[in-house]
Amino acid sequence: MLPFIHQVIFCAVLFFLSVPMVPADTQLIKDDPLDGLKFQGQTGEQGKGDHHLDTITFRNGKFRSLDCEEWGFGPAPYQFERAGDSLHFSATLPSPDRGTLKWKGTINGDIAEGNFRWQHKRWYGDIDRQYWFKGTRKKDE
Amino acid sequence: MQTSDHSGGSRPPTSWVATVIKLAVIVLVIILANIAVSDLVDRLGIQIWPEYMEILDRAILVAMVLYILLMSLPFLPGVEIGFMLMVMLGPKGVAIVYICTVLALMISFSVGRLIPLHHLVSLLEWLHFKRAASLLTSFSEVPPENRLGYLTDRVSVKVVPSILKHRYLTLALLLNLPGNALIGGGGGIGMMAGMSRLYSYPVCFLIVAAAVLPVPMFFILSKSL
Repeated sequence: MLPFIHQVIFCAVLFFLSVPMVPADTQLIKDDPLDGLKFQGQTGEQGKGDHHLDTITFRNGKFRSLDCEEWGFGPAPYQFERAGDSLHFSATLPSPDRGTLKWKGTINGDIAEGNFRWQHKRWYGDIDRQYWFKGTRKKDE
Repeated sequence: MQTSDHSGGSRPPTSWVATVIKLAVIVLVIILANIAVSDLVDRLGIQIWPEYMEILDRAILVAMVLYILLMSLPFLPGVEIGFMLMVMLGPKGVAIVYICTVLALMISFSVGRLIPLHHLVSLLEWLHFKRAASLLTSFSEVPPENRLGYLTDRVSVKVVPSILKHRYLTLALLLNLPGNALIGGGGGIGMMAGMSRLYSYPVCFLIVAAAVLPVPMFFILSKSL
């Protein structure tokens, strides 16, 4: 058992080490214009009509597609870059048994448009299909 | 091997032209089927999503098993399912269909070789495959040395007599001939090749593997164009 004074010093060191990390993390999220955004809209296979409604979210540096999550994809970190008034984002959602979904999209005001690619290796052939998403911003209730 | 009764005299050159035309028609049908199936899937708006993956996997597995089964039996439309699978799937799928085709033909060969004729005929009759049963019965009545000639005559093919002297070439030719459905298609030919006892397992395997290669090769080439 450590003497009391050593325990105090140990806790103090831990505290000072951890202090700078909190503002850095907060800073990162504050600089992220996507953080907290949520979009809901139709999605379908490329070149085809609507298939179902999906919701995508950006929170704490992670991108999620709520519908794809039901099949085991993501959440995953996302990258973004500004281009004028638009924001381009990309993310690769992994799944344990269904391959990956590579998302790429653009946000213009309250509209998010994107496409994603499902790639999965199977014994009978490689699945490689493209999908689209178009959604409008949804405020948290 | 005797083939004198099928060698015929002079062969009209038009018979080869007709064969080439038939092969060209098959190639054209494959290309059109490829385009038509892709177009149909687009028009129907069928969408494939990750949530349907298990169904897709199972459907393809069932189709493969069904394909092997239909392909190994005489007079059943296995080839059509094989075409459909090759059109739907990519090059890896074409390779699997090829393996399934070889497997199916080797199964039919083994059935013809191992199962006594009367059992086989009874089985086919029980399955209501009257045509197949009648074909095998009449085939068994032909003397072994005339059996290949009997088959080539049934498909009305005018082959060069020297080809008939090579039973391996004849088997490969029969498997690829347009109109071989008249003698039961691949399954029927495999079964009768087994019954004839003219081929050993390894040789038959090699012939079948080489003979059924052109169609998958063509599919892979047409996909990559």
